[in-house]
Amino acid sequence: MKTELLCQPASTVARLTLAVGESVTCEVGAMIAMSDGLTVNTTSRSRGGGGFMQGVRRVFSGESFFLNHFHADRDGAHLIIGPSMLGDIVHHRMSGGTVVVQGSSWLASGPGIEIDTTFQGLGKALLSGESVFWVKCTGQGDLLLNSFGAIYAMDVDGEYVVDTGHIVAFEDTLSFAMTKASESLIGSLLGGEGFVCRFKGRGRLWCQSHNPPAFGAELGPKLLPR
Amino acid sequence: MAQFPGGVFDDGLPDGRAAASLVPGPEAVEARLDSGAVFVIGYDSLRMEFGGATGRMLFLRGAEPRLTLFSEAPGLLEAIAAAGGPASAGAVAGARAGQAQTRKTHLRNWGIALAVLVALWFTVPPIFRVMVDGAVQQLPLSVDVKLGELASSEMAGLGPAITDEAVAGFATEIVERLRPGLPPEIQALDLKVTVIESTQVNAFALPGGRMAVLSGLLKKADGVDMVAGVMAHELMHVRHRHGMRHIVRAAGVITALTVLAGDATGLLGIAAEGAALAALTSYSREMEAEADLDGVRLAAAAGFDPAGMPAFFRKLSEIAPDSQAPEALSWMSSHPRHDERIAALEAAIPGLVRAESTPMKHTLEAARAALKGD
Ligand SMILES: [Zn+2]
Repeated sequence: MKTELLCQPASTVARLTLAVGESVTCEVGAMIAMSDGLTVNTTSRSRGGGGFMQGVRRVFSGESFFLNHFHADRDGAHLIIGPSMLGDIVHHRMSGGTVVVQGSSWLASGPGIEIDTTFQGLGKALLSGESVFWVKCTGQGDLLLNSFGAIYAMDVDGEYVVDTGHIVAFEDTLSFAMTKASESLIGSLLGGEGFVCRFKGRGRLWCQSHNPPAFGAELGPKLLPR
Repeated sequence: MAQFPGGVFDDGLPDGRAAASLVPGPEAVEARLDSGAVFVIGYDSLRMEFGGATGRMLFLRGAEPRLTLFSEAPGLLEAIAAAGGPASAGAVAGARAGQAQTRKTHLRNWGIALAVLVALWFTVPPIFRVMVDGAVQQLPLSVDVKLGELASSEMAGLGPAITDEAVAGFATEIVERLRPGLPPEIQALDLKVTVIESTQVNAFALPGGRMAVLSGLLKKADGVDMVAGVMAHELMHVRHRHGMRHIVRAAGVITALTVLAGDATGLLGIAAEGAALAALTSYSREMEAEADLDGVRLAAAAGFDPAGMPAFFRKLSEIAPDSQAPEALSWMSSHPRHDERIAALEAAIPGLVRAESTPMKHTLEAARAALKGD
């Protein structure tokens, strides 16, 4: 599969070109356009087993119950996909291991990647405002993630702090915990940072420039009632 | 030899990392890459700790500071202990001690969280109640009336209104006798009562003062005091503005949960919806107790026998078990916990002064005779 990112960075779309027999799994609603030579089928399971419960867990993580699988019947068939929010897309080639993806940031992945959900702890979810369940991508192949605003990758070695709401994904060799931004709780609340996510270990981390809940809170009151 | 899927971090690798199979041997752990490359950490320098996103990933480090092996495959630690024997025993013990420490910290954090939750459980509801009452007092009674109008269409759906003077006049006369015991601003409301033809034993009041009595209640009641008791109870829901408080309370719960849960996705979103639904289905225990005790006082002040209300509750709980149609007793389902309520009412009654009573112009007997069927 050939992946090209077009119209970067503010409203990026991805053009995926498949060879005959290749397939790709996308978030429902991600497809913008497609050439002929592609068959689409919609299921609740990613690869192998799982099925219904996998779908239910995905709903809890903020993704759809169903997934769309695109299968190429000829060489050079292509489709254009994009996220529902304005922002960038990042293409990561997985060579084994697991990437843990925040709720709605998973866009598409190749057939060698299994998509499931993972429990990230009620405490973390309460403090960070993130979902309780995250999407877990395991295996080898192409992985496409989308962000709100710009996206940047960071190779962590040691410790790294990210504000809540700005995490897109991280490799599971990293551990993360919620901590206060400053020494005192009052200080961190006054500083506007409240709680932050502290990553530890070695691995790649993807962050987004904008925080969807904060953006919504900022914009909401300014919208005129209709 | 057992193999465990995992990976390697090393600065010499193209991406800094690669997938690998971990193989515990007698003297060292080997990491075999698909490329054929092999990385080795000897037991003499091995240090291990659990970490990663799940906390269950085992990280192995040796003398070479930039080399790390990792795997989340279950049984790796046991396999290293078995393969290395005394040579790996120190490293295995280190990993287990670290794991125990993490568990302890985890347990402590949950303990603290639980303590905070318990403290909030006892302090937040009273503060919240004061805030709700304050908010409701700021709202004029006309809001209650509007709210009642919105809900009145549902009242019409229950059945046809009975206009026969013997029935409608009976219910209206009870309300008129109860009215002087209410505060002036409540008396000024349009306290209109409608008798609706229905087999259900039920009566309710909408915010703003409109009331409905279902004819099943008139058929089941043994005397005017029982009907007056139920209506006095319902009037007290209007007088204390329980409907408004209920809505303000539910709105507050939803707002609070939304603030806590951020954009209210995931489990918390579902919990918030559930809590809102539960809050809207029935009045709280305190609201019912308030309506009972103030209602029985109102009935006595109007010259009705205050014992009518607990007597009616008792009658309902007696006919409930062998009732063929439980929905016929819907007043009971929205007003549960009879025994407690009867006990509380009967304890309060001896302290009440019953006003002198004059005979009713409309009687329950006449009203019943005018009802169809039976
Ligand atoms: Zn009631």
